[in-house]
Amino acid sequence: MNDLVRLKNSFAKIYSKYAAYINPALKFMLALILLWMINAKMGYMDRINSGAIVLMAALFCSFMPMVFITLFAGLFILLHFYALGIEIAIVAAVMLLLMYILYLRFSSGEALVVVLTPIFFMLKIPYIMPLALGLLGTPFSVVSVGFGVILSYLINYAGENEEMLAAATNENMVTKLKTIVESMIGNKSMICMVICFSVVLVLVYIVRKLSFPHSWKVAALAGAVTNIILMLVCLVSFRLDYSVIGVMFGSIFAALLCLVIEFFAHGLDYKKTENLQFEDEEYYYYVKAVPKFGSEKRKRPTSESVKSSGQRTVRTANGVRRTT
Amino acid sequence: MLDGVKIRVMTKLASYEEGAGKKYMPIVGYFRGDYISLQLILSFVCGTIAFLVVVGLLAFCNFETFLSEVYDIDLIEYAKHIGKIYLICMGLYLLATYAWAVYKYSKAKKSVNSYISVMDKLSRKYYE
Repeated sequence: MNDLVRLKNSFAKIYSKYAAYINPALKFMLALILLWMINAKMGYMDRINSGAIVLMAALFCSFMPMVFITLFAGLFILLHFYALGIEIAIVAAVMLLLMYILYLRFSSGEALVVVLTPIFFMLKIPYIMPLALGLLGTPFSVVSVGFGVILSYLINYAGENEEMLAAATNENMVTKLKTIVESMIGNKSMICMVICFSVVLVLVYIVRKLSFPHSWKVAALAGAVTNIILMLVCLVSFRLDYSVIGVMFGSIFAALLCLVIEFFAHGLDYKKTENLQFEDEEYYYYVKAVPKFGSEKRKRPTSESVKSSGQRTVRTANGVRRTT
Repeated sequence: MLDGVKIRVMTKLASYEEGAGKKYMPIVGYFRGDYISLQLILSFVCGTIAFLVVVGLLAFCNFETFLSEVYDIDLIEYAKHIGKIYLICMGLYLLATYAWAVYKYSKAKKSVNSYISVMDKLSRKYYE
């Protein structure tokens, strides 16, 4: 464990030293992977399918605020949909517009979640989203995850019905639009997924807020188990076509990834928990203090070591340390 | 002569101004009531646009059905029904906005107050 903590601390040190270079590099990587995956999965528009366009967009994003990555991802998705058929592009545009004016106005930072959810769907590990956001976010994150799931299903729908959407218009535009909207609204699998993710996210959030040791780990585990149970219930009740093994392994893998998240974002050393009790005129205080890993105070020089070195550190009135 | 404490406090203040302060200070620039009202008005406008977009899309999809049944349905009742849905959706959305705005304002106020108290401490240092 100590090696891991040392590794984490050295990461933190390197990051704080070179943050000015690391941040743009990370943004570049994220934008590159995101746009490349969108092109690989959709790829209906040849003009934006080239590596040069993706590279240029990623480079641009690396020097701009984070929200630009989301904007570019949304734009790429819309352009691909547009190349496939204007009807599905209209549905996607309406969905993104609704999402922006109803929710992302309040919490623009969560826009990335909406774009990352389809990416995790493509990687076949979508269950990481509710677990990770339950640990790192707030219960309101259910809205962004929900929109992310809908966007994923829309992308999937486009892939499955490519021929129908791209076909020369034997049917008129209204009929096509109606088909898309009805198939999205009546998609039981999508509705089940949104409900499961929402329940799991809120559950993980509630459990990780509780005051008991290893609450983050327990929250991730409880979230994974609940996810498996809910998905199996949905699968049996609505005769959905999820892979049971996929749900189980996906949830377990998501829980394991959450342990990594927990280590980097939380990392408490429960062995060194201190339970303190004290009082003042109005209250009696029961305080539980759990130190973070690697947060041991630096050892001050003992009288022995001061004597041997012949130096001592003095804190002057203005707070500056001086060695005499 | 350089004062270590002052430098540390000023660094903390500058870091706050560059980070969380950028988010919270504009909020505290409003009175509480004004901020909540502004958010409610914005939500009203956004919610209405969103509702119109959804109704427009659904109307566009069902335009043929609507045209074929236009003489059989009571248009006033139909409009009332849509109005009711609008009011319910809007009420819920405005309620959520109110809760969010109250939470956000109190969080911003708390954060900026602690910034101001550190600022006071710093200014007292100049008179010592």
